[in-house]
Amino acid sequence: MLIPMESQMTPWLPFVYQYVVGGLLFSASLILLVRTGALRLNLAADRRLLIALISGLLTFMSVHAIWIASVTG
Amino acid sequence: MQVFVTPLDWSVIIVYFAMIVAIGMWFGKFTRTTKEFFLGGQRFSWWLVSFSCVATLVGSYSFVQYSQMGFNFGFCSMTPYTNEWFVLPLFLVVWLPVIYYGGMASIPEYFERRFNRRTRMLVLLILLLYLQGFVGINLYTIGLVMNALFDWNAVLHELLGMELSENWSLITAATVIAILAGLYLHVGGQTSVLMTDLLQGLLLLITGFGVILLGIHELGGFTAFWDGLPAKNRLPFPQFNHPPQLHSVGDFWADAITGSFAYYFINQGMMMRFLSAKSVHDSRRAMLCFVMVLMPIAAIAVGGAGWVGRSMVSNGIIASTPTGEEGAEPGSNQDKTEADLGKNIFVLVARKVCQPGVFGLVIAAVVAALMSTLDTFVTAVSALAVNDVWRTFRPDRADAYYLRVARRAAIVSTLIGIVLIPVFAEFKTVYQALYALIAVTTPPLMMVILMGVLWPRFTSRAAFWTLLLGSGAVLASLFFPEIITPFAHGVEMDPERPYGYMRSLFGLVTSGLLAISITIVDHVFFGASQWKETRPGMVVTTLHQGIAAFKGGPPNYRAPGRSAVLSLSVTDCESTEIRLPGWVLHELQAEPGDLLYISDARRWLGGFRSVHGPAGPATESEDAISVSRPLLEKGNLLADRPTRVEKII
Repeated sequence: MLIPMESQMTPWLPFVYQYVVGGLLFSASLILLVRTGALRLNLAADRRLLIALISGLLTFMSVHAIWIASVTG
Repeated sequence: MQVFVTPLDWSVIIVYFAMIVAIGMWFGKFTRTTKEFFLGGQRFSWWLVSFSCVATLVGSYSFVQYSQMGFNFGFCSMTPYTNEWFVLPLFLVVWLPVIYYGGMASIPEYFERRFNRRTRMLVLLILLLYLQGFVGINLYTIGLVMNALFDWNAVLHELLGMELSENWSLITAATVIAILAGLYLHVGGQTSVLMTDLLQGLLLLITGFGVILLGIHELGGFTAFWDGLPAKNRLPFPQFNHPPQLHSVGDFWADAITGSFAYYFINQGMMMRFLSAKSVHDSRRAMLCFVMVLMPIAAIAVGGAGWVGRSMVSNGIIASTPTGEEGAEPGSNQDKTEADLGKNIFVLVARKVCQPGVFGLVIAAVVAALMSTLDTFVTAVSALAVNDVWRTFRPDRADAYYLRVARRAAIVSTLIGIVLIPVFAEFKTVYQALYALIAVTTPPLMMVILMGVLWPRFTSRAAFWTLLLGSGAVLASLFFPEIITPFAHGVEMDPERPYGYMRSLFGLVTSGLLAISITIVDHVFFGASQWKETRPGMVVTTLHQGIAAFKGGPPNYRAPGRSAVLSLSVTDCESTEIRLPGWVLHELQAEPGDLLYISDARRWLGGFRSVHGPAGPATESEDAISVSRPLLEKGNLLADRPTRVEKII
């Protein structure tokens, strides 16, 4: 689990780690919720909630990506 | 560092707090039951819940703490307020419905319904220590902040003609604030908290942005501000695993995952806030708006002074020594200078940009931050004291009796908080012990809740022992931090706070392994079959059974979000039913027995005048909602106002 010190130089590593590991936890949660029936995709309210959750994550991810890209040029 | 407070500043402060106390007490007169005291009657709209959360989120020390972080590390001071999204699916889809539809008034109650009483009592003890400790910490920090902002002792000397020791100075400052918060909290509970927190939240945001904008103006515009920031301070994340004081991998596990989970799933105060919404749907909207929109805005408001301060230092507007004494040699003992500057940067920037009157607003905002966090924690302690302790030993009393106990518990909690101030001031180990308690118990609590709601075969024995042994493992890591090294992601061990951030990942993994192992042992060797179908709604697979039990019949999910506005017709019967014209029932696709919600049609009231009730048979009237007088009075509804009706479920 050791990360080489030189990799700290890239400002993208925190972004990639957060959204890959966090994204996996997030996706696993959603899959579990759909499979157990807690989130029923045949209900309009549940579909809207699912879309809101995924859109929110993508929004945060996009804002962070654009931010890093614009700062690092 | 202290600033002269002008009469205009005092006027602003006094007018503001008089207004807050008056509003809080006015709303308090509508609180008649324990449900109203703790949960505001579960009647409020999503936007009111969402805005009031801002005030709870921003504590008394947030401006100082996040400005320091912003000064030292730049825009990544926003990270703790912008990384909550990963835990939202489990909170919104599972935990919130489990608690809301389970009709639970406290978090420990879940542990008894899902597991057993001894697990509930263990969790209750942890939560009481945690919440009561935070009441004390909030009061202690307001004393520190008030002394940092202006010379509170000099004010006391002026008013009372006496010199006080440092401890008494802290206690008197905190007591004044505690009395102000206690005045409305004692009367109104959650309703007063919600309404005052709405205003306090707005003030916090306006003041935070005011200081930033005035600072940028002082710097000569946005370009000068931006150019004054070092390149590394412009990034949204800290470095991956260095320095040990702040790194993104630690922030991810300690804050984004464990911290967010603790804040939303375990914090009784926040849970009560979301339970005060009129429906699970509104709680979800409140949460989405809070995390998506309001938290990032709050992050800017509390940390922005640090960014501006860094730019002011670069531009020479603030001296690079903390006190700016003549003759101080720049560059000497640089690390210490930077650290001192960071600690004081909020006060330095506020002092730099404030005009008379505006500084009064800054003080009011900082104190508002305390009051709004304090009132939430005190209400939470009161809820635990009544629902988990008092009702257990004095069951089957009238609700009015428990309401009296709740009000007294709020006062007692505040008094204990005041008593804790000198303890925290004199014995730093007590203060540290409280934080250690949170660090030690949060990962196992999180794992037990997760396993409890997601894994039906997770047993009561496993829950209890995971809490104890998981806490023990994390406690051991405080004394032998090297056991965290395999989870450290290359983070160096800081001797002062060894693996402070990575401890949560260690705690989660060990607690998870314990939970699984003990459950397997329980099933294999003790033949445990803990999951009983008589407890619907306690795990994810029976969530919809829980909704049906809450409603008292099969849920009606058709046509969500529709509403209609009609006049009210009041009858003299005692019925709790809400009767609608046939065409409205058809429009809402509602049937007799469905749960309805009627509210004053003025949306800006946020559901203050509203009530729930089951739908009755259709009325003969074509243009009026028919309700009984007791229901009208319960909802504080006005008979001559247009009323909106919605189907909840």
